[in-house]
Amino acid sequence: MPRPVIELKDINVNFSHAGGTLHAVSHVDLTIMENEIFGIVGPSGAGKSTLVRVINLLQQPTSGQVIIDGQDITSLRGSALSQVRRRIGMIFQHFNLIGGATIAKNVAFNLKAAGWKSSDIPARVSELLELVGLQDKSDVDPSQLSGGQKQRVAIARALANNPSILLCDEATSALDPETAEEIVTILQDINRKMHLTIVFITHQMDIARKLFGRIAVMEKGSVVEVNDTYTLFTEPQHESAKKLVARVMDIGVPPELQRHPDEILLKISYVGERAYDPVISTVIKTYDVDLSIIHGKIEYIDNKPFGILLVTLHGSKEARDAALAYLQAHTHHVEEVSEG
Amino acid sequence: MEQTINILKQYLGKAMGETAQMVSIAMVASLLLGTLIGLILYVTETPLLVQNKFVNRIAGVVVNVIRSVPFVILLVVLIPLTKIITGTTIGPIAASVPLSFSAIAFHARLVEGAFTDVDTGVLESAIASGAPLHLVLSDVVFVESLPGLIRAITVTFVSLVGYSAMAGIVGGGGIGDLAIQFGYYRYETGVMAVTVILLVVIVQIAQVIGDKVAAHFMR
Repeated sequence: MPRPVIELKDINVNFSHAGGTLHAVSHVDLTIMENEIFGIVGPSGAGKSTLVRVINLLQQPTSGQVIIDGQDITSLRGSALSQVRRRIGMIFQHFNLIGGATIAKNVAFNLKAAGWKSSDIPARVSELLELVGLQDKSDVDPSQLSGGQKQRVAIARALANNPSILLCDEATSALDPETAEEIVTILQDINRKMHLTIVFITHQMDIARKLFGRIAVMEKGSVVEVNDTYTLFTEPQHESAKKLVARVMDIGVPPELQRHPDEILLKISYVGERAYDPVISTVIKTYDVDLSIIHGKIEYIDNKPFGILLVTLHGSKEARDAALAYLQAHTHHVEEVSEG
Repeated sequence: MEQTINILKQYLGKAMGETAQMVSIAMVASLLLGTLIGLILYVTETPLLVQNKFVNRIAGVVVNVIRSVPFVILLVVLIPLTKIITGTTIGPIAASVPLSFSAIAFHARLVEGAFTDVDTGVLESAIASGAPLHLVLSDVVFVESLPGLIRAITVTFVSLVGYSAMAGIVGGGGIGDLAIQFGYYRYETGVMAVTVILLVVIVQIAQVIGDKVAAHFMR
């Protein structure tokens, strides 16, 4: 039975400014379980960054409770708070390495922060750099590394004190797609090997699809939907979630498509095991219709397939209706597309 | 011409010694206390550190008051205090007191500015690591602001050389005083020219060294 590692209870963060009060985060309740990779997505300005900073109290909530491993840390200050923070690693969009210190010194900082004996530090630093494949860079300055390498150093540094939680603030947003993929692989790897709970905020839905187990969607400071990744991508409920998902999942109707009066254009989506059913060939064999595939793709989320097909159905009205009824019964969702 | 050379031979060495004395005392004072006050200003105004609006405001007002009083006035106003601290009101040591006050306040603001330039993200990641405040300051804030701190020291030094000339008014002596006493009051244009060139050279050398050192630490 997985236990909750992070519990946020009715979190509010208000910023007062000249014109009044900005509700950056309002009434957020979230429970994040041990060893899961939990994503928070939403457009920029939705309050994701503020919310993730509440978890280690870089941002004090205006009201609400932050509970880590069953301990209410909201009112902790000073060294008690520092002690909790050592169990929570954090990486950032712009890496935030100390520019005036070598890679080894950057990693060593987090060990010094936890009071390691200076004689034990070098061995642990090389161990950590080896973990991210940068053992040969220990005496190099951060400015000489690529973005992906900097983020790997940041990961090594964040893991220095064997934290149970890793917070990632847009950790792949400043990287090119291949490098982002690399970081995703490393995170998946450490999530498995080190039983790390990962909280990752991003606006990149492609990263969300590959990495997250569960996702919370934020809009204007509120969490509007929480679901497992597959369900969120295949059956988004909230408008905001639908909009985010559409960017990854949808396929457009080719504008060049010629429309005929006795045919209809259908967008068929199918999920899970059913994605493998021979629905299309059954329709052609059973009903007096012609069916041509215009466009289609299958995405894998959480190793489960999700497919979308764009087809035209050609035939008499009766035959088309019967075929449509069959498709509706045997696929996830069928939608008639009127406009090209 | 001969007159000029005689005056210079007789007084320039002593004047340079006095300037060196005043500038180094005030420099040490501003490096210690100016940096400390700058650090207090920075730490108390930064939400991620130990933000304290009350302390920040007090320190800010003190610094502003000292900085807004014209230096010539400060020289006079501080005479009683100078007497208490040094036991005298004339000479380079006495002149070092108002000079130090002014330099401390000036340097404090420059140091505060150098610290404020430290990237908030880097500071955030240091705080998130659970490091104690002294470690965040020594291993992150100081390291990241080192080029800025060196530039601040250069600027303070250059200003001090200029201000030390005014300190001649309370009998502080120094190169600037030599320029006024002989170059201006006694129409010794040669003395004036030599002292001014000397000051320009000193400032130039300080600036070049400061820039070189700052560039070395810039990564």
